[in-house]
Amino acid sequence: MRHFALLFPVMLCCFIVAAAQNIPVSPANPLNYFLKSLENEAGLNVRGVVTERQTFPPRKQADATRTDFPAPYPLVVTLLRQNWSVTVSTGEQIAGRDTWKLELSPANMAAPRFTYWMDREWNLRLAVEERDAVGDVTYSARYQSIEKPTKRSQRRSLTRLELRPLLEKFVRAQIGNYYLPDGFRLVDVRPRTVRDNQAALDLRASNGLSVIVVVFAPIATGRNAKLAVRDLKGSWVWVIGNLARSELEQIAGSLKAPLEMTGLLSGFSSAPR
Amino acid sequence: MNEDHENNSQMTDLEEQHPEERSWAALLSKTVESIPADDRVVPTVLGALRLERERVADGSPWARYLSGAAQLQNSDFDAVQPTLQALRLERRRVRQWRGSVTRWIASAAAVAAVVAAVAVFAPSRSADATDAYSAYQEAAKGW
Repeated sequence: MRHFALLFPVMLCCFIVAAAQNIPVSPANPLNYFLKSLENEAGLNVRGVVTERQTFPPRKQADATRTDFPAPYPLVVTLLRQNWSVTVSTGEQIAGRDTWKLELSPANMAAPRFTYWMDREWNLRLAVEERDAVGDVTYSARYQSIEKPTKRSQRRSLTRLELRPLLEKFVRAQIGNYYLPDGFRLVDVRPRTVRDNQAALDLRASNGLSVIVVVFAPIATGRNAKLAVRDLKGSWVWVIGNLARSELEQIAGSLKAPLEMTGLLSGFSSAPR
Repeated sequence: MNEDHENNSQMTDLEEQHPEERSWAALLSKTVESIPADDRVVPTVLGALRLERERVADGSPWARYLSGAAQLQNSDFDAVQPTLQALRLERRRVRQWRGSVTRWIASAAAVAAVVAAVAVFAPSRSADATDAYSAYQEAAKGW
């Protein structure tokens, strides 16, 4: 007990000395810092030159330049706290700005991991790198130059999803049990249209930060990397995510032919929140 | 196989018997086309033979080719048989040709049907994965 009593003044002294010498103090809780920074960024206009490279999902031009930083993934904070470890360290300068480097690692190593470089002063993202399970960078973005942010007249709404056990139960009642990799939970179901305006259905799963999308559609789609397609005899299921093909195929293989599509859609339109 | 061999040797014999084999073959082909049944050919051949024996030049192409037979074979039956045999061989050749053409057309039609089916169904079965990746992009957007 006496040791703890001594610890507090010592830490206070260290903090005062560090502040006096302008030594940066890293965020005590990196995950909270990350969440607060995203909320902060949602209220700012940030412009600059951002270079971007995307190999997943594949697109015509992997490299691009843009004037703003891409939107973050939707967050499921409960799962983020359960499934992720976040470490912070001093990062390199980006666009002439000092950064904290946040490394977000999922408990399930089959899922992608992220590294963010956060502006220490402005508390916003200056760079991001997403790596898949084998360590390949599948997405990166980085400010090359940045202007001082200004306040947005209307703040953006950061998507924070909640776990929906009732919805999960409802879906299982509709399509039976299915497999999701450790840490992933079904968080959303939405109708969508696919080619030729045909009705389809999205099931979205998240491990807190990265997503897996399951689409029930009346048609197939092209077979490609990080995409599993399965014929359910009468409809098709597509599973897309930044995971190994084997994981995606296991998910697709666990999905049984759903109810007739229109029935499924009308069922989900009244699905419980 | 034996039958083929036999027919081929008969054809060779016929060709040796008739030096102007091309004209003869053309005539037979024409006959095969215009008179498909043997029993309708026989009177024509017999008529030609009779005219040849009687030295009546009727201008019939048969007479020219059958004059040899008329000279060598006194029996109508013996004279008609080689002609009928040649006709049968010709019919067989035509049938084979038609068969192979039919097969070729059928194969081409089948290939065309497959190509058409692929063209029709390809967009729904093996298109690029744009739809799927769009779904992912939408789901991955946090504001």
